[in-house]
Amino acid sequence: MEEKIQAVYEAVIQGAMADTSGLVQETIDAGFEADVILKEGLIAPMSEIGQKFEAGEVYVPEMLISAKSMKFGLELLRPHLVAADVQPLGKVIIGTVQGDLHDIGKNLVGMMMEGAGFEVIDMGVDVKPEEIIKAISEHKPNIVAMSALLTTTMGNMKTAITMMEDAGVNKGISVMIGGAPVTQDYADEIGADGFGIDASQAASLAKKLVE
Amino acid sequence: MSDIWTSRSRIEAALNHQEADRVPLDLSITLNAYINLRKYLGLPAEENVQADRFFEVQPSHDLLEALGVDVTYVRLGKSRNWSPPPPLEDGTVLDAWRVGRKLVKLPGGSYLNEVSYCPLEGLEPTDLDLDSFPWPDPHDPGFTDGLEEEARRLYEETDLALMGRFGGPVMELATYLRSFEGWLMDLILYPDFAKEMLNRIADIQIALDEAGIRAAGKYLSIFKLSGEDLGTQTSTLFSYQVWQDLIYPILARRWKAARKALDKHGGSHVKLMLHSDGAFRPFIQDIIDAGVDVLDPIQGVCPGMELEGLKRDFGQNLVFHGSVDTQYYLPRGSVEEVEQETRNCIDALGKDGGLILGPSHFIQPDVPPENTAAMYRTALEYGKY
Repeated sequence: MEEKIQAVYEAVIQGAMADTSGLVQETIDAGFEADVILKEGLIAPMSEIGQKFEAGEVYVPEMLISAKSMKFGLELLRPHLVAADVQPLGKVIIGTVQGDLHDIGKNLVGMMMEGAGFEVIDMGVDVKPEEIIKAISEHKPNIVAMSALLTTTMGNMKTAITMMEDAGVNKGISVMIGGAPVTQDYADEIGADGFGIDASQAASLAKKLVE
Repeated sequence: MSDIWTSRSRIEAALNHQEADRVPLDLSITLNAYINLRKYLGLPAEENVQADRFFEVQPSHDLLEALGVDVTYVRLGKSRNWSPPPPLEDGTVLDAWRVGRKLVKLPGGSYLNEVSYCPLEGLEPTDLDLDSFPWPDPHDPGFTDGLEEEARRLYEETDLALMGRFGGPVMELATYLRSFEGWLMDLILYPDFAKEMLNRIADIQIALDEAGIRAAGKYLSIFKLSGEDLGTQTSTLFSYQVWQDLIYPILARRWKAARKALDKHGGSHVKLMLHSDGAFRPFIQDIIDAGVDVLDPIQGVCPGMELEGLKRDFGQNLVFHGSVDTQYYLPRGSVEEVEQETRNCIDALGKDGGLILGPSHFIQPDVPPENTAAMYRTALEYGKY
């Protein structure tokens, strides 16, 4: 790997949040293609962080600072990606369901998906099913990802899926769900296409769903 | 041992790893679930049921008796010298730590209070002057108003075991002050600042613990060291190194201070209970080494927290409080499944005492009352030694 891109890669692995955008700028100034910077400098280290997380070598804090570092670099790179017409892997709408304000899991999943090359539209917390349907019409996503921490709110995932079906906007869209009480059984029960047990596996699953 | 067991002697037997007549029981329950359960059990409706900020209710003794629950608790009173400022525009109400919460409506019409304002969020530690932050005063006399009398009354007039719940959390409060994400990043980016935060919070919680223990310690069976959620659903929240270097020394200081205060104020028999959700097996031996006797609430579905393994590896030194699953069985399982889950928990953890059975989280409003009743009914029958 080229030295300047290697430096971006290392900054993301280390979670050097203050350094990433400056290092990305150096790669741009040095004339690297935007998609190379994205793939080798930003996506590759997030994939490695995800593997380390799954292996129990890093934990949520390290994952957070790496993801934030990646995001700073990506923000700087984004206009160059648009200019070079680099397409994302797919588009994801993500949010915590109605009645639930817990967002650290949802945020991590969103960042890991961005770190895997997706365009992620984060709808925040306490998202009503109607808002999801509206966002589907507006953004035409490949994936809708819903999060819930509470058993009392996870039923709203099912409500949203039913409303998507009733509104006829579910065609060609995969629904992913996650959150502490959520299981594969529950995903099967409510007709979701996928369940991620953690942020890293959610990002891997999203990649499979758009293949 | 006594031939006629009381709730208190039953709990104390379990705490000393001895079998009583049956597995003792505890309950933590939120407002709407409590109201529904009373109705289901045919108990008279109560007016103005008081709930705390988590919507947890202190159940009345008629309900404890109906279910066979053996524990009640005493808490600190309200501050005399501090009152909350007017709510923010979005309805957020600030507490004495300046942490804001607002009501969020849940499906089915009940509510939760969720953190909606973190007073130290987003600020660089270099821009933060912790000396000028308006920390709450733990020496406010209101906290212990009537506490000793209430504890003595419960001790003398009931045979329930008393659990003391005084100071609040240390680490969890840091997450409220800095935001959850901000705090987790502090652990890596600003470890000295994180230590400073934890120490300042711990000093206040220790003073609150000591105030409560001075007043009521001698009447207690269990002292609950508030909640420090150390695990996620799948792993510890942070690495073992962060735990060892940063978190554990400060939490252990708090736990040892509670032990010392209990020993000094007539509570040398009182056992220390730590609450942590999630998967945190790698920390358990350290927790025992720092003097914790009881672990709550035991989420057996989390990796490493499987009940049989915990009993096998730590059961000699640790009492388990809780354990009945609240993520699937209680809210969504059938009555038969709840009965089986209850039997499984007793089989896994009940041998040789060392188990106080209860839900593995507050019983939330989505738990059907017939499931709660089935859990306690099964425990009373199947939990006989």
